[in-house]
Amino acid sequence: MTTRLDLLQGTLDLLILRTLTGDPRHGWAISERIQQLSQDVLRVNQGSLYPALHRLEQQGWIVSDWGVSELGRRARFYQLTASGRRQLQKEEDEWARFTGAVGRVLRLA
Amino acid sequence: MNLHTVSLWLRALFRRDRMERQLAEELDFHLEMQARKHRAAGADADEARAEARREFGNVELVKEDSRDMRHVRALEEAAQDIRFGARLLRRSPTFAIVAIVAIGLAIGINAGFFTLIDAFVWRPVPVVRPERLVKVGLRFSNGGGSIVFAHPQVEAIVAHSTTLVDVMPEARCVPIALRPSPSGKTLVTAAGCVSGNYFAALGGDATVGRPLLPSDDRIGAPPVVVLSDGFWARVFSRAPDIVGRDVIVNGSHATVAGVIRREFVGVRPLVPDVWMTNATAVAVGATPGRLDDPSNRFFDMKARVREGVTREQAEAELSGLVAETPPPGADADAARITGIRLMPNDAMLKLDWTTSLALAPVVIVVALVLVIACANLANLMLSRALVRQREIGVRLAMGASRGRLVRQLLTEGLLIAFAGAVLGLVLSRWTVATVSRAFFASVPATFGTIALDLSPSWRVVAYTVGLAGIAVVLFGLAPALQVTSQSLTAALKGEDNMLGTRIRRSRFRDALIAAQVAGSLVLLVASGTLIASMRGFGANAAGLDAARVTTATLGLAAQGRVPPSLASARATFAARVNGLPQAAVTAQAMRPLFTSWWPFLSVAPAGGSPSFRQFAYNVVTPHYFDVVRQPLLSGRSFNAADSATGANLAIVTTSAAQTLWPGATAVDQQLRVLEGRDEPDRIYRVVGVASDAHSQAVWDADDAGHIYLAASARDLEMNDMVLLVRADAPQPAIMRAIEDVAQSVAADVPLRVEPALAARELTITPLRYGTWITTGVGAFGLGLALIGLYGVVSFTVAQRRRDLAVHVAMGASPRDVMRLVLARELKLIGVGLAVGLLLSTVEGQLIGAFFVPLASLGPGALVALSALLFSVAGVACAVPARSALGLPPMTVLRQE
Repeated sequence: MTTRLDLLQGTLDLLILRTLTGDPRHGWAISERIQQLSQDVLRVNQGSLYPALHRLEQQGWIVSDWGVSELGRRARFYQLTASGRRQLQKEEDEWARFTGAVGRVLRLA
Repeated sequence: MNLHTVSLWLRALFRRDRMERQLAEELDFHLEMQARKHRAAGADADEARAEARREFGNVELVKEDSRDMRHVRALEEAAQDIRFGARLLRRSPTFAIVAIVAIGLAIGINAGFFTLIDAFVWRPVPVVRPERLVKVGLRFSNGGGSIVFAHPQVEAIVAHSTTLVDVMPEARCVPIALRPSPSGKTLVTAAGCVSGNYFAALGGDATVGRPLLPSDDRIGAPPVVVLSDGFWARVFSRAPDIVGRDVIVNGSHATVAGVIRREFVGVRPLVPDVWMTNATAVAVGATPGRLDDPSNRFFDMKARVREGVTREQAEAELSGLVAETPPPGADADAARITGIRLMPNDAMLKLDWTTSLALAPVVIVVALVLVIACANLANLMLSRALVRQREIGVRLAMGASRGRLVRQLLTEGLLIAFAGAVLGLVLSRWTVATVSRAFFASVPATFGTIALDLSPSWRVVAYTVGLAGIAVVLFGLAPALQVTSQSLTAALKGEDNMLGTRIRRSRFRDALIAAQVAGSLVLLVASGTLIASMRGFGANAAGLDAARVTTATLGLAAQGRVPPSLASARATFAARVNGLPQAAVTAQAMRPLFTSWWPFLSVAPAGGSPSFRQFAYNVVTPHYFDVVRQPLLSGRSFNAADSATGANLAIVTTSAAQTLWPGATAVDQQLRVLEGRDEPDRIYRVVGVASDAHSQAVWDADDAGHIYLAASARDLEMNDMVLLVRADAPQPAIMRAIEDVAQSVAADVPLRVEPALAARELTITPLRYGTWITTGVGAFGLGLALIGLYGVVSFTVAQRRRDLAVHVAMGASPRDVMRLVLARELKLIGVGLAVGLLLSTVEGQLIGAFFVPLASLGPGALVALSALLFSVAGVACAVPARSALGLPPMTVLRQE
């Protein structure tokens, strides 16, 4: 169970970091964005989104700040830090290696 | 972790409410956005909200998980435990106070003792760069050693050593007679004799003027002195124009060069009033040493080992500088210098084998106290925890982990220990400060001012915290483990309390009780030993009556080289004091009363083949025995006519007489006294027998008796005779009168006047403090043990209420009930006493081996002490046990 969770978490981290490369976003916007870009294939489990955000912040990869949302209501916006950018690069590389490897196995096996 | 994440973490910990609110707001926002999305897709408001919630899942769980990401859960749990523990302690304030005071006193005693050890052993000497400081010593061919050097060795080392730097020879100094101004009154002043580089090497700067310099340390250099800050304040009222003032030291003029800063102490914890260089000290006679005599060793030496040189290398080089080759035909046994040893001097005291051994008994006593206190608390905590066993059972059943419960139970102990440590630290600081102040005040001013830094160092604080930690393990862990190891069903059903089921009696707890009793007995015996010894040292126990005797010594201890001018001054002084109207009778003696400096004399009965025996002896003038009121049992005392004839006369004490002439009268016997190697033995005639008296220091085992020789004219001239004055006038008055005589006879010769009992007091004082401390500690330990027993028995009675009620219902008499309750405890007390007696015997042997003058408690006293302890402990058990007698059986049985 732990390994699956880790894998899931790892992927989620990657996706969160990727969606934050542009402007700051709040949690709901992050999940919407992922859903939208993956054409509804990837649905973020919302129960694990917020723990993940808090963990990433605790690791110093993202920072949060309170701002005003499009509704005029206070919301917490997350933004990538410099070390988060480096982490994103690392995770993207790993992901590419991972999918590449899986792809090779599927093609050649 | 960087700064940012640390601040996040701290915020999570300390701004918990705010974090919580923000988290709630964040999630709420998410739900609203999601509901909005559903509404936009056509759902009505309620439906949309419900759908959003359903998708989201358990909000509280998400909150919990998000919080966990901050890694503060363990800390939050700890905070919970602390709150819970504090609440429990608040609910039983008596327990809390007893526990905290008990553990606080125990830790305080340990911390106080550790403060003293720390001050001597670990605290660096308060000088600059103490790390490479060494004390230089000599090695002899016979395996012995010494730390005093003669001038030629000092010269050789100072001039030629390449491995040492900052070589600081210090001449042994004696108090000086100092007149602050040529017309002022002479003060006996503590002097320090140091090398010219001393202050520069150790960082002794001057606040006014300059410190001593190497140029002051040349033979023939103008004599200068520097003052301690205290002396400058006391005698010169901090006069700003102190530099350049003329003071008279032992009759010679000297110039004040400066005042040393107050914080400067040097490598010894005694600060003299006045420092001068070794050269000045020799010139003004502040040291008994002589530079031109290669056999006169009077220099201590400190130095630093040069950077990059090991102590061994330095020793090898120095040994080459001072080693002596035996002159041809020399006595092979005569000790000669073979080398140098260097001892680290970075702290006041080197913790070597002998020091550790001397400290060991005290360490054991104070550690015992902590163990007893912990044993006690363990008992109390166990009782408290057992009372909660039902609650703990429920918690275990509801899935609480054992680790968490143990942690919670330990937290209570931790709180007690922490509060105790704080209390202990405060107590020890106060006690050490008070006791040391009183103790330092009893040190004569001519020794200098004691400057020992006794403020708690980080080591003391760390030690105290460490003790608290150990205490928690000792008194908290075992009960916590024991209570949580209970079987679940039994605990829930309260089976331990049920009729017929055995109350588990833990061996652990039994051992604790026995240990407490044993520990208390050991402490009681130790303080009993000390008290008995102190009684032996009482003022009247010496066999003399010295209460009204004043001693006066004019001039330095010159060791057989009294200059004629001083000898005649002394003669005039003695005659003038004898003529004082207040003086009832005076005498002179070679050695002062109550000191360890009495030499030995090898004597044998004259005639027949001599078998020599050694006796401590003194040389006295005619009225000595009248002055000290030592009764003569037979024969007569010395008289003035004897002095005129110059006959060799002796008086022996009863013990000496019995040893020398068993069964015969000693008066008029001939006594053969063994003289030096080349001189013929001398024959003395015994004219009287005096009663035995403890005339030497309390440490000395002088039961063997003494021999007194009549002082000859030569003795009076050549020896440092002490003047003993018996007067009926109040002692301060007679002391002032004697000082006035000295001032008029020889104003520039140092005079020492003090009550004869002062020397005795000085040797007893440390022991008196030791007695107070041990007795206090012992009483505290006993109190703890009694509280512990009381607690355990009341707990047992409470636990066995039903059991006992059944017995009463079935017709048990009060006696039977008492036996039921107390049998086991009394047996344990017995075991504890046996162990304690055994340990006390070992302790007695150890003390006897190291400290001869301590009385040893006889077997009778040991038995009496044990009996006393047994009855006191019995009462402590019986009081709570009596409550079992009053149990109305039916009420108790109906309770469940």
